[in-house]
Amino acid sequence: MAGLKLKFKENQLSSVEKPEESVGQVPEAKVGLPKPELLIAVQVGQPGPSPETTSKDKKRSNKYFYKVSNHHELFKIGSSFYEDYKCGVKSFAVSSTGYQTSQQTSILGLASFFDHKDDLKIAIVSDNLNEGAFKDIVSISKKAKLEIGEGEEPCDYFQFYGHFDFFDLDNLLEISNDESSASYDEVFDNLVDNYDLIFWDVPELHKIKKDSEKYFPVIMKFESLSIIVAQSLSNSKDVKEVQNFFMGYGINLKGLLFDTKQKLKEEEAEEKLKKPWWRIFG
Amino acid sequence: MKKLNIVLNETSIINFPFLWKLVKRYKILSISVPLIAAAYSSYTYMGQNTIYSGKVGFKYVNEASNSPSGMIFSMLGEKTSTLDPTEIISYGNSVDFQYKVADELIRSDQFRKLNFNSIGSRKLKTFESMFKACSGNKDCERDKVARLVGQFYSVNMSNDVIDRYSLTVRSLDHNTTDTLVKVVSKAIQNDRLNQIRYFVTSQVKISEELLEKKKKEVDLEMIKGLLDQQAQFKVKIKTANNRLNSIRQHYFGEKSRLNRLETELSQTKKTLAKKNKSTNSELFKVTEAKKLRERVKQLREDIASIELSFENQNQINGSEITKKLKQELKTNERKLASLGDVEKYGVDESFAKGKQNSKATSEHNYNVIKNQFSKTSVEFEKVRTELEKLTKESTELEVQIKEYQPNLELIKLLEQKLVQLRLAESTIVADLVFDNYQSELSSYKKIAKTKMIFVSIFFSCFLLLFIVILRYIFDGRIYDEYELKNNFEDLEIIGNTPDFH
Repeated sequence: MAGLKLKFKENQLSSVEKPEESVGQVPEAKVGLPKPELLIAVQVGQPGPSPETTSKDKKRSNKYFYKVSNHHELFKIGSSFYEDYKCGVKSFAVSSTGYQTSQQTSILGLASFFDHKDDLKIAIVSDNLNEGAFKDIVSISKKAKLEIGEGEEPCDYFQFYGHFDFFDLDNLLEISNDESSASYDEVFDNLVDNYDLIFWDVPELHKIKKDSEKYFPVIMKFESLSIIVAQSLSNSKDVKEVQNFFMGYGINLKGLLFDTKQKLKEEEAEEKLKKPWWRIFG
Repeated sequence: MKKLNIVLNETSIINFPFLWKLVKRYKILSISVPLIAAAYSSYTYMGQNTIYSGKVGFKYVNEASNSPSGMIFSMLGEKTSTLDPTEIISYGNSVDFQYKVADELIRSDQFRKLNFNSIGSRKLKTFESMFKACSGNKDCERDKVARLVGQFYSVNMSNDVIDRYSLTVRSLDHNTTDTLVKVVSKAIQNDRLNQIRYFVTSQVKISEELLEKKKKEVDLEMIKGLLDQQAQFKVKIKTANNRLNSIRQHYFGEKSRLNRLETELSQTKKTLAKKNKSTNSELFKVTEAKKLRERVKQLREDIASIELSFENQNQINGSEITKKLKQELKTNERKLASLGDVEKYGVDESFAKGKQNSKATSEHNYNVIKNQFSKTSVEFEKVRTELEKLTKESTELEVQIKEYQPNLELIKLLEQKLVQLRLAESTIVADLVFDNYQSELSSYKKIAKTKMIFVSIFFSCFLLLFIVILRYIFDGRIYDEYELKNNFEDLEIIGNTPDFH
């Protein structure tokens, strides 16, 4: 088994998307598509996503799925987060020492796990929706507007087939920092209240440090923080710095997520950029 | 500190599995360190000079049984200077000896062809460049050679044979090694010979000085006079003794003769006086008794001879004759007995007559001998007195000589000793005896190939261990969950991030 086909709403999937039929058949759908960082397999002959999807249509099936290579790890970390959720934690932040893709992948995996586990309204907040793992999903998601403050302009967000909603952190920060708004953290309060579960794709530490006042309301909404440590890349000193920074705000540190693939990915990327040795003078 | 704790292990001190992990982690270091070590070892091995080594054995033969000199010295009661093993081993270390070797080398024809580069030197110099600073100055060259030569040879003690040593020479040139073996061995032998000779010569000198001093202290002329006098006395005493002995013999002979003549004369006088008192009958009885005595004596002899001759032939005839003779003997004995004691009647007439005739002669002889004896007595007394006087004087002289006896004895002993030492001096040979043949010259590198490989491997391992641990300590990156757990003990490791195909 090359990977786990993680279905959204397994009980509502069409016959085409049943695991026993779908496993190992993904490559057919990939033909002719540019290779994104996160692969989205589209069933041959199926039309693209319907822009008509609403929250009521959530139970409808869709034609997209991710394949997780280390499904047992996802199950393990997902269960850990789920336990926390059951204990009342609903705002999970994921940070790292500069590995945004890894953060996004983790959030996506966890969101999928929760989505698979329960019928929850999940929001993902990130300042990098058009990059990394979110890029492809956001590109096929439906753009919508949400009123998150009284007298405020509605906020744009992206609905992914009723499974998760993607919010751009920069937009939210702009709204919250608007001088006309009554309370600067009202936006985030409403956002948290609107959803059952929120995943925060925490920006890089230097960004936060640079404008900590601006990020303060966001940070204060973190109920649990997980730090991703990239194998062979993350420096313990940097990890400590992240840990100490958020502990300074009184954020509960859930634990560490270990990214074993990041190094390989970076090496592959470097390999692509590298010239062949016979062209060193070229 | 946390990192060190990971590297160290309670049981095996070093956490070897983790270390192996580090080696695999820092691959470039793990490959380059042994490579560098190997390259350095190869460079060092190849850069070494070829060393030529020569060896010659020698024996220390100070024991009397082993050494001709020792035997002579032992017989003469002399002792030579001995060497202990440490002295022999450090023989060549003295500056004096190094100068002697330098002198020998400079005298050698091979001097200009010798290689004086140290066996460990990296950059080799020619003879000319080495001695360029001396500009042909012989003393400068001598100093330089003396300073350099000590590093080329060493004396080692044999572990197996007692009093056996070896001279080992190492240099960068075959010819230099060969020359040095010969020169140094010869120098050691000569030096040792000179040492022994110096020792004996010093003893001779000291003995001579002492003898001279003693001779000055004592008046030898006077002692010589006394000794001569004593010798003369001895001769005189001997002569006097001989003379006395001769006179004594004569004296006692004359004395004895005088006594006999005196007795004889007195007896003659008595016999003549007795004869004048006796009657005719008494004289007859005396004559008869004399005849009977002679007859009895005759018969006894006859009986004894007959009994002896007829004992085995005719016992019957023999016994009859014996019987008759015995009967006659008895008869004569009875007659003699009947005469009674005839001695009281005086002497024999004929005897008395003879005595009467010789009386005058006896008196004359007696007087002559008496006069002669008195002369001899005077001379005897004279010689005896003279001898006593000589003996007394000789004793006094002996007492006088005895006072000078210790000094004389010492001088005598010193003279004897001096003779012995001069004899010993003329028979000195060195007690360090070198073998006639030296072992074949061998060539080798200072560090052998196997040793170099072994050292290289050991050094590589140690260096690798050190560098890898150092690299790990200064490496802040996290490589596995084990390290993650150790670095963040207060945080939970939730798991690995999900990965999408």
